[in-house]
Amino acid sequence: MFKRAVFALFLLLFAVLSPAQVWGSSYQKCAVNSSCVLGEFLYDDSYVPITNAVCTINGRDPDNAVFLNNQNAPHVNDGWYAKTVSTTGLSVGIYPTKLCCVTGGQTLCIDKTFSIDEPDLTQSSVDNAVTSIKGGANLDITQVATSVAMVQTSVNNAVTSIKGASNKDLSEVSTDVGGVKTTVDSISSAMGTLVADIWSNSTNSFNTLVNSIWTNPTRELTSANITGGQIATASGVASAVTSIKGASNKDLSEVSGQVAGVQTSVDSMSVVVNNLSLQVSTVSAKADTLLGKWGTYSIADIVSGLSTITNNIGNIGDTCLSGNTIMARSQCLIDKWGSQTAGSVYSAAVNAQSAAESLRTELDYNGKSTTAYQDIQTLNTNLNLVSGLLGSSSDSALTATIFGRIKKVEDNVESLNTSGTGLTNLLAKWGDYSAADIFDKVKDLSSQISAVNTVDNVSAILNKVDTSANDLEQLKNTVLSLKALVSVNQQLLEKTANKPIVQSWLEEGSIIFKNLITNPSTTTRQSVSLKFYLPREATQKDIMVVDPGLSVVYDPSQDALEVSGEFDLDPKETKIVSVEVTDVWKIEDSEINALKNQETELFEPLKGTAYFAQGTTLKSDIEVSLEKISRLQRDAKTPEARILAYREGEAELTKVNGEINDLKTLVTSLSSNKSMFGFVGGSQLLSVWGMVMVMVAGFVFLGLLIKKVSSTKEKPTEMAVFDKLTVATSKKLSAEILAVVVLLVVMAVGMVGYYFLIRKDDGISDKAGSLVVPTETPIPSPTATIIPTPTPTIMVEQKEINLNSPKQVLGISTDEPTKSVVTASEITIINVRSKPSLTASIIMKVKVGVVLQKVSERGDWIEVKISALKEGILYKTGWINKSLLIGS
Amino acid sequence: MEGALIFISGLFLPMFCYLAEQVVPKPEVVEEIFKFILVYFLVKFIDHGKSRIGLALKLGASFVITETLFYFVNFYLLGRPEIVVIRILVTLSLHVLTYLILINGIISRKTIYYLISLSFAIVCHFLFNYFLRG
Repeated sequence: MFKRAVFALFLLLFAVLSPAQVWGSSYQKCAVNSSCVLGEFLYDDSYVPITNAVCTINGRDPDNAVFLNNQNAPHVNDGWYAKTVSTTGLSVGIYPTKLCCVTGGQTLCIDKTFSIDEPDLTQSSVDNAVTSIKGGANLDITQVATSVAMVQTSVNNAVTSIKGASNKDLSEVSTDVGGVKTTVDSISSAMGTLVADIWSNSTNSFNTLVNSIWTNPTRELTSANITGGQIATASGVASAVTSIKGASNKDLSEVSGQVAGVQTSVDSMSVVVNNLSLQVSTVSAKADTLLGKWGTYSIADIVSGLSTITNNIGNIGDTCLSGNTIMARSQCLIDKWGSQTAGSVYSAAVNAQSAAESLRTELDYNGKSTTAYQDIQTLNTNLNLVSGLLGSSSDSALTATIFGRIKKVEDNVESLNTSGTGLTNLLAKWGDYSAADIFDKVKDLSSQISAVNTVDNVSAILNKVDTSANDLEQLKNTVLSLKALVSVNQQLLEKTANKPIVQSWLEEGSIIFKNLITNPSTTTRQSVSLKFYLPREATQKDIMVVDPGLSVVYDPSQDALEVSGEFDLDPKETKIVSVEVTDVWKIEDSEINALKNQETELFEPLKGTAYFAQGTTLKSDIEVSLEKISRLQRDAKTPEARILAYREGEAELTKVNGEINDLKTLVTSLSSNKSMFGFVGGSQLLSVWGMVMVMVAGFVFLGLLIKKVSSTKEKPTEMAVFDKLTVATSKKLSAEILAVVVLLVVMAVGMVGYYFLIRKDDGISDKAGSLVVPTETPIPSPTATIIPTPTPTIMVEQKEINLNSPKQVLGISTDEPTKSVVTASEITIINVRSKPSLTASIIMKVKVGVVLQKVSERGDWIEVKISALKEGILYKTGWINKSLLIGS
Repeated sequence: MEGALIFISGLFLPMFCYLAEQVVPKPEVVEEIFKFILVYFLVKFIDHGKSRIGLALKLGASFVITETLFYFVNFYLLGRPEIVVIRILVTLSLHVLTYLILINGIISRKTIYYLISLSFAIVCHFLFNYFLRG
């Protein structure tokens, strides 16, 4: 049975695997474009060829159309009947054909179906074809393919080369060129009239253009050496500005204002005196004429002339502002320089006015009497006296006339300006001179100032130089106090006479806030209220010495210490009172060095990582900032400059701390990518060691537990243990399948929830299963709340005036960045975006209540300072919608 | 006592993983191999009860507790407490599932099933990480 089956199977396999020829003859094949003979031999039962049969042939083409219709197939010989068919023009395919022969009343039909095929390939024809394909180059397909590949590479290279850096194909280039051509054409057509348009433009002439450029607030000078062709950097300009400001830290407008104030005052007085002199000359000439023609003039003529004279002289009640009379102008002189200098002028004018009144009365009652003649002589004498007291514009500073006084004041102004400039320059180049040189210069300047000084009781300042030959600190304080004295003298020249002057300055030691209060009046005792605020950094514990008469109290409204006092000053009395404060305006070198070390340590692990570039940038920024802090402190020659440098340094320090945090974030992120507990690297050292201790303790505990378990309990056999879990019941299996399904569902729900609730919201990259922390750990930047230091005020005679500009505290800038406080009524987390748009990516989130520093504003968006690492990019600013902020 | 040992060993497993990942930074492979080793020894030497699901749940929960403890620093930094909940939910599911796979492989006591279960657990872990990372 088995053998049969094997045999049958063998047959079956043979049948299946045999070629088609095994199953029967294939159709007769005819080549295209040839002749094909269709025929058959006919034999009788005795195998004798039949020669008299009538044979016809019928056939159809592959499309089933009649191809041969009862065509005769004649007998050829030996019983062979055949028909030759031409295949020229016939299509390839099967031609069903039947040959039917009639012989002896019998009809016999035979299938003669044939196929027209392509001629079989011969080796020679293949060779010829191959030769033909190879062609003259005699290359096979592989070689051709290689050549084509090379050509393709060349073409690609050529295309890349043609495209160039812009990576544009010819059509794009053509488009661009077309665009450029259009632009050039339009420019070309516009150029023809460009010059004429500019010249003829009424509102945008070259002059306006130059003015617009020149007055542009963001324009920068092209360096101090403008002919050098260098473009100054912002820091260069800032440095130049600092240099220009000098130790006084006053900008040019302030300095110019102060100098101009004095100069304007002198100029205005010069104008007053010139006008007064001219007026007196005119009136005096009139009086001379009346006196000379006393005999010929009628009373009416004399009264008319006298009216002109009295109108010019004015009245006793005239003030400096009330008119242009001699009395009013004399009063101007008194107001400015006091009665001592201009009093005699005023008295003579009063006498002239009195004589004129007496003359008019006499003329009214007695006519041209002898008394009247004496009166006009008296008038003339007084007018000549006024003229003599005024002097002439050619008088020298030593001449005891008003013009001489003006000359002297002008000389004093120039001398004070020279001294002030000399002191400023000396401070600016403080480090360049030796103590001896400084001593000599200070002594010279002190002598110059002493020569023009009009403030009494300041010998303590002027003689200080004699006691501080080698003490640079004392010398610097002398320079600072001399500068203050120059300023007081300038104010005395500028301001109305007899008004108290208060001048504040800072000296070295700790930091000494000094105030000079002077009463320039020679006759009046005056009360002066002094009030100013210490810089906000100073606290009560920093106050070292407070002079009698001063009190220091905290003013909560200004969040600063207020220094105040009341002083009664005798005529010409000057007082100098001071408050000495510990120098808290210094960033210690140790702190700077510590930050440098921290930066170096944090940068070290970033080497050779993807964060190296960012780390290098941060490191560079930090080093520049720290160097800037050192330079600012080094270059600060005066206490004011030091306080300014401290504040600027503090801002830099805040920036450095932020960048140190950024470096920490980078290091943390680096660790996070390396291991699943990488974020621990960003934690405190204590946490890391704590974790190590817990691990060690855990291992010990585990070991002890295993030991206890193995010693106190009979160890179950391996089989028994395994059997416990392998006892599978259908109930157990169902529970397990159910558990797996539940777990999968929970995972799916959790992952979807995670994606939609968190990941999609803020793009957090998290790999929870592997415990790898997100690559971003945005840390809100530390924000310093900067409290503005109040504007210092000095109370003088109950009238509060600003001592300095609103941005200055004793010459110290109080500029502060604007702050914005994040708030929201219904939400607790606010998105900070990379751009001012709701579609921009979220770079970090901040909690409500965080104080951020505002950088700029655009529409409904506020740009704030942050520090966040997102997808390898360090963001230093971000955008928050304005509606979510307060204080914006 | 054995229950406590199982739980504590599960708690400390991430520590070993941490050390190993310093050398081989492939968390899904390292963690699953360590899980396999732990389950093998627990099943072989400790009286762990009769419930495979219970054992997987104990080990998975203990693993997640340690993970979450260390990860908590980041929740604080991000200020997103909801992450804690979601993270615990999904990672607990993953670790219980992979423990269950490993337990079923180990109790078969055949090497081929050991390898299959370990491979399957690694693949599950990898897919989980892959999809969650996006």
